[in-house]
Amino acid sequence: MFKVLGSDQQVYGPVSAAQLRLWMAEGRVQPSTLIQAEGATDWKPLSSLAEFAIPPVPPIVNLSPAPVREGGQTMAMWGLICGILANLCCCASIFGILGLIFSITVLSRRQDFPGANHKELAVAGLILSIIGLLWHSLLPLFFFRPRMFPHFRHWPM
Amino acid sequence: MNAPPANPSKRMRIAGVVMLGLAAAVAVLFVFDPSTAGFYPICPLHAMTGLQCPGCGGLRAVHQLSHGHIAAAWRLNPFVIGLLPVALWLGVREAVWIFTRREWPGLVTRPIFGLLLAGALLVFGIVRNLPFCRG
Repeated sequence: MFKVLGSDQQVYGPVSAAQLRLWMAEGRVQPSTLIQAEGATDWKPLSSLAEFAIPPVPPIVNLSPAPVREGGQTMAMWGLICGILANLCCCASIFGILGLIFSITVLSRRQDFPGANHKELAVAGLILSIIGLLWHSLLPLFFFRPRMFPHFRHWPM
Repeated sequence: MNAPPANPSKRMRIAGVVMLGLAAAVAVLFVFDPSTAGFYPICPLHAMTGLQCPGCGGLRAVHQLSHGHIAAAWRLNPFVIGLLPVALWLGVREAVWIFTRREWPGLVTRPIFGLLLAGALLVFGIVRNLPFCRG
């Protein structure tokens, strides 16, 4: 049995080793969290106990698998679509930011999206989003010569 | 049984910052009317050509909506007003996923809806500049 010093500085437990592993899987207890074994007087980080060394034991992982979202292909397609939208109109350059988020998520978390190869889609979406954001960010330069534009200041957005 | 609280993950912190930013933006839009306040961005397409782009009137429409003037908001930009519930659903769904790991139905997350959105954006941008639609 172990006592746990939570991130809110409250003492929890005593709990069993199985419960402690469950808390590890749920992110309530980190390797740096201080715990006190039954009978001991000192607090030690969890990682110093060999039986709780990471990675946690496989059976626990199988009992409560971390939910993973499906659909890397879908997200890569959305990155591409947002990249196209970002180039349609200055007001749509918000889609450039969304396109960046989708594309970078797919590219950086490819291990979470097994199966089909959607790297090309994501790269295309990334490039289109950057182009859209870049040339729309240059538009305000035109306003240094407002006389060229008769409708200047006629309507705000 | 009492359990120690889970540490907020990096994603939860980012989601919190984004939500605070959105709330601040809506608060600014509620207080300052874009048709009179001077500090809002100006549509470059309209400044150069006088044409209304698909998003023109969006900020003014959200301002009117935040004051409960639905008809006025619809006249200013029906496209943005129509998209707001969709964006709201997707945003709440994303927040639920990040904070509770529960997956709500996506409804409009299939890529075909993105292509429909692009088409609708183009059509709306053209139609609203036709002579009998202006005003």
